[in-house]
Amino acid sequence: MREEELLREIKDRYGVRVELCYQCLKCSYGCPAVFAMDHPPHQVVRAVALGMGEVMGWLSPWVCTSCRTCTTRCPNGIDIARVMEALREEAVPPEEAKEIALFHQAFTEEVRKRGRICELGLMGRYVLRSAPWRKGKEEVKGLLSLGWKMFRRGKISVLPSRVRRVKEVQEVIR
Amino acid sequence: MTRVGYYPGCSLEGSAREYDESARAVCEALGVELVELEDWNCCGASAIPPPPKGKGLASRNLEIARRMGLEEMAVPCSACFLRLKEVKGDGVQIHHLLDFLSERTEEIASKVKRPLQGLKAAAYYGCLIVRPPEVTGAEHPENPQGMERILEAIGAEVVPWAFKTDCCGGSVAMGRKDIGERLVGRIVGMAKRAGAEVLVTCCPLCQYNLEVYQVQKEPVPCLYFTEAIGLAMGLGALRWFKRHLIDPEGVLREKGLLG
Repeated sequence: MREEELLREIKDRYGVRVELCYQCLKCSYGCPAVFAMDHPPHQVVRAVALGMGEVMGWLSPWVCTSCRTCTTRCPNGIDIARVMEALREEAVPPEEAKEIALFHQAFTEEVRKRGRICELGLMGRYVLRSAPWRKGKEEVKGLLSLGWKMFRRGKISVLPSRVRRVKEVQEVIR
Repeated sequence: MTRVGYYPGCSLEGSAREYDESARAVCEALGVELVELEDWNCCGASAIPPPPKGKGLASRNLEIARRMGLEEMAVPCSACFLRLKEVKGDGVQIHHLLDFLSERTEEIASKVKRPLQGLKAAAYYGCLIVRPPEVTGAEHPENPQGMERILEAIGAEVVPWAFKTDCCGGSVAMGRKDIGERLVGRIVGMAKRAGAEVLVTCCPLCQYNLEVYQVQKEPVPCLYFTEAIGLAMGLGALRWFKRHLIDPEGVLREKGLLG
């Protein structure tokens, strides 16, 4: 199965020792995003250790906020946040996480283009992808009002700076 | 004059401009020369993690710092800070700006013109300035104290509370507003229960999330710690507060700390 191969690759490449987990559940008790997950972090770790390919379709890695509470508290020193990150790199996001993934894509594209994030450019790319107008008028109104508020307070740079040697930056983004 | 490298990061050119402005003003007043890294690039934040092997986005910044002969660098954004710290075996010492300034509380205290007397403040650190401690070097990742030391030095009343290192939702809040609102709601609710009138932050994304996803009535204003220091030092903080999405002027005026 393709998912299982991918999973093995992730384990090899990132070298996080998930097999050390003895299911104490500390990661799941401390996780701020666990309420939004389909499988709590300790199950993700076990699934990866067992090579269960279906983990590639789970929501949990996408709603992980990368706060590193799990990594910090794990008694076996397993970098659980890194496991989540690695899964996000390879997996296809489920429907409930589509916008999170689109935001990451918009971010990456913006960095590739300028070497830095211009927030106006980032939001533009994100909005074009996520098409908030499909969610109705309220969503669009909210976005516009936030944008206008930020603009009036000088929080949006209209003439964004960029990296001069942007090629060097592009070389290190895969 | 102390000379230290400065990596502002992308947000400080836009949504967190007041953080940049107040950081520069405070450092100047303290006799610290911030040398901005030349042609710096984005750190990658949570969207572009470093590759398992080889060079990532943060490495290029450190190479530039080395070329410029910078031995130390102060970083105001917690995500940038962590990404730079993750690069192993490098000669440049990376400090979060908060840690850098909390080592100078005596100098800060000596420059205070108008102590923030009577202002009840909750110190909010968020995640990546302390976690994971193997990378950040945080001595007390579950209960850091640097920001409290600064706030006490400038005369504010620090409220004890349990949510200072809880997560604001980070960039996940951009795509899932519901997650942002729930996490921010809990943090702000706990700060209120502890009696805080303002939240004090040290990360542009925390500040953004706390301001944008706070949907409660009577929102609690949030200040960057550098703004709080600048206010106490009399550095013309009002121009920074004008940039906030939740207006802090009301509570500060009430306390007689403005104008």
